[in-house]
Amino acid sequence: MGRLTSFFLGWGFIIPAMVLVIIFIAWPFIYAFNLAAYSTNGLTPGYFVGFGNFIALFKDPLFYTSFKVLGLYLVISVPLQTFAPLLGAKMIYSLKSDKLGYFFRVILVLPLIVPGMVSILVWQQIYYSNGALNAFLSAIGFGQVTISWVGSPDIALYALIFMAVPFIGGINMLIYLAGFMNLPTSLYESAKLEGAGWWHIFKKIECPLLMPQVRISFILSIVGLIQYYDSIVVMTQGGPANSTLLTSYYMFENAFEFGKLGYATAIGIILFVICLILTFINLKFMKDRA
Amino acid sequence: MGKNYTKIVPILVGMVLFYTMSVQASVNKYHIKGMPKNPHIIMATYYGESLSGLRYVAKEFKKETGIDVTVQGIPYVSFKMWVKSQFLSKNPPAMFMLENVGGYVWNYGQNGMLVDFDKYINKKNPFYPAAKTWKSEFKTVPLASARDINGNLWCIPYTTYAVAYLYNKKMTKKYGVTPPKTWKQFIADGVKIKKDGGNPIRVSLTTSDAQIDWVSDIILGCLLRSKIPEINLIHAKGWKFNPYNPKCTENEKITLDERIVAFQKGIIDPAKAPAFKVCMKMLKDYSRMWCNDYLGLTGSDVFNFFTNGQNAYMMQGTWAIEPINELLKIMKINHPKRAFTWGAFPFPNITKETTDLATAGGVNQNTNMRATIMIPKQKEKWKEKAAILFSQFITAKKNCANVFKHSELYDLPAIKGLKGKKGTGALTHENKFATFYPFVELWGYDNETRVKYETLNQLYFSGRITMDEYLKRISANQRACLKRLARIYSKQLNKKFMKKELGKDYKQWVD
Repeated sequence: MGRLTSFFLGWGFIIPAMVLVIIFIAWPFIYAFNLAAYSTNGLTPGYFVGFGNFIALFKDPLFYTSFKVLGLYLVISVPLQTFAPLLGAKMIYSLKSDKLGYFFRVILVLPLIVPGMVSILVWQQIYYSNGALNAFLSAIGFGQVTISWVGSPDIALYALIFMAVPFIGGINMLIYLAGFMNLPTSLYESAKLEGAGWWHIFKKIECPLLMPQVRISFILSIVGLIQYYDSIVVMTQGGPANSTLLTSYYMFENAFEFGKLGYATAIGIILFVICLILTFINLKFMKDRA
Repeated sequence: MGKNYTKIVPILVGMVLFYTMSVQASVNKYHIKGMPKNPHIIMATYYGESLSGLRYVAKEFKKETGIDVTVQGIPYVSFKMWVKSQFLSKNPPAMFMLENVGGYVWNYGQNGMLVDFDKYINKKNPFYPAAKTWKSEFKTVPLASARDINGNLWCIPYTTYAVAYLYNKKMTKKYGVTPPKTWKQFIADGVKIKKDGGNPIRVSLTTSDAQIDWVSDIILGCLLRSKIPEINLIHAKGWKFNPYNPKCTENEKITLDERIVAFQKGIIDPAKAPAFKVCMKMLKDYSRMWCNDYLGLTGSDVFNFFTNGQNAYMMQGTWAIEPINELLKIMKINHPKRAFTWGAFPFPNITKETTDLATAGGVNQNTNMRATIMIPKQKEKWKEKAAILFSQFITAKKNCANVFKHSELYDLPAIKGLKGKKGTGALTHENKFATFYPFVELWGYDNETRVKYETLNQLYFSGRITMDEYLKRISANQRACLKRLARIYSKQLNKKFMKKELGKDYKQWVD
């Protein structure tokens, strides 16, 4: 194959994909910066406001409320989603039977193929006033503690976080498991000869060597959680009393309920900057640790 | 035989020719400039229960006009998003029949995307020549409630609902209460049921339910009625307000400039007008009889609890009658001990025992527009006109009756002289007093104010903010909303009138 043919073949393969990436990913991303400078409802062209949307945003008390909720959500969820799957992967990796390991791997990854909306609707039935959780509590004699789980401002956010129970499965667990499988067996043998127990092996050998996977899980969790709003749309609509008003939902609400597309895009850009900052901090921190 | 045959053939040919010519003449009568040979338009609706009736009438329409109408059903879930995508495609269906949830239909009109029905409503409906104008075919309240906050008619009503309190006869008998006549008695009965260990009523304070809005609309409509002459300042010459004559507001409308003036003067400002404070006190009293899960319930949850026999009362509309009756039939078969029958009573009267503010007549029941027709502006103008023709056709009395006859619609027709299905009568009560639709609402005037109002309700009723704080924030929301609308309707505002009425304060309302 000549160099020219190879050149054209290479570009021939890459161009269709590049065009799609530009149309559906790069262009909307660049266009968002333009949109944030307009006051528009998406139906009519609107008018140019420059940094007006950002200025209004920093004066908006609900934006700060949504940030507080997001902060609490991240503080609880990120460690759970980053480290709990590590334990899950460790448990599966430590199993001596390959068949058993395969079985648990399938069980823990299975929820990934269930559409998120289905799982949300199931949880809605569980949390419902007359739902499964309250029925169970009543049946075992705890009828007095039954409450409206997503109807209490003090509990609703925790109820939404709990929907990811048991936290140990999912894509992060697969990332860790792949990491465990790539660890050199010679290290285990040496550690065992030195008399190290499982805890020492986990703490001194596995954890440091799995830092790249921890970094990926951390970033994926942060990005995923900052963007998440599905269960809020279905179950709480940011309520009760703004207790589940995540910034992502506030963005959705502004765009599609209030028709303030430029304002919502400004929120999106701020979320993007936050993701970027957290990712840099994480990379820097993990690099130093490494 | 041969002679007869020669006589019959010309007669038959003549009849065929006559029929063809008359059909042709009738089709040509409705010919629209630019219309293709085989005209076809689409009407989209999420009212699944009306599809069969609308399709039946669409066939009749084709026979009469030659215009083919496809009645397309769309899912209710996320319908707002679907509608928006249709508008963004620049090729929306020729007409929609949906519900004006949170005023989102008006939003399209305010953005210049809908046909203004005021251009057609005062003319004759070609399919119902007996009526003086198309407007005169409609019942007063639903047509008035189709007008937006500036009095513009971006949609017309097709069905109307009526709301009342339903009660579980078995449960109210058990607790020794009868349908209340006054608000005071209603609250006392509810509190008694709760004290005796029962569950009087469930209310939802989420975005999916409007019960609290219905109640506050009724209360404010009654308490602020005496202020109507101070709000409707731009009116027909010689117009006089009589609170005891519902017809006296029929040809009047409150425009945005009048609303802004009344708000700025404090007549309808929630933070200043005493009626709002009284309304909130009454609602707080009402909350004493609610079950304590009001922050987590949806409208369907409220319905399910009542039909399961777990509540004494439920505020509900005509649309729910059929599902309730069906569920109770099933319950009678499967759980005869839990089965019950229901009755209905209108919203109780607000008497002097509750407030001195109800000085201009009593309570009007909550009835309003439900299914509404909106017609998007089109590139191909004939489609707009064909959609107008079809909406005139389906609102003509005979055809509207046919839609209801062939449908499972349990709401009431918005056309005069037509009644709803059996069972809806228990909820329907004639309005005895004059008022405007939309008049004064606690929730505000657009979707953004509405969502914020719902959150404030959750904060107030769960004791997180005081009543004064609540009213202050409601007032701020409404002010922001009126300013948004003033920007949209800038060209239509009567600035001279506003300047005269507001003086120095005028400038803050006009950019």
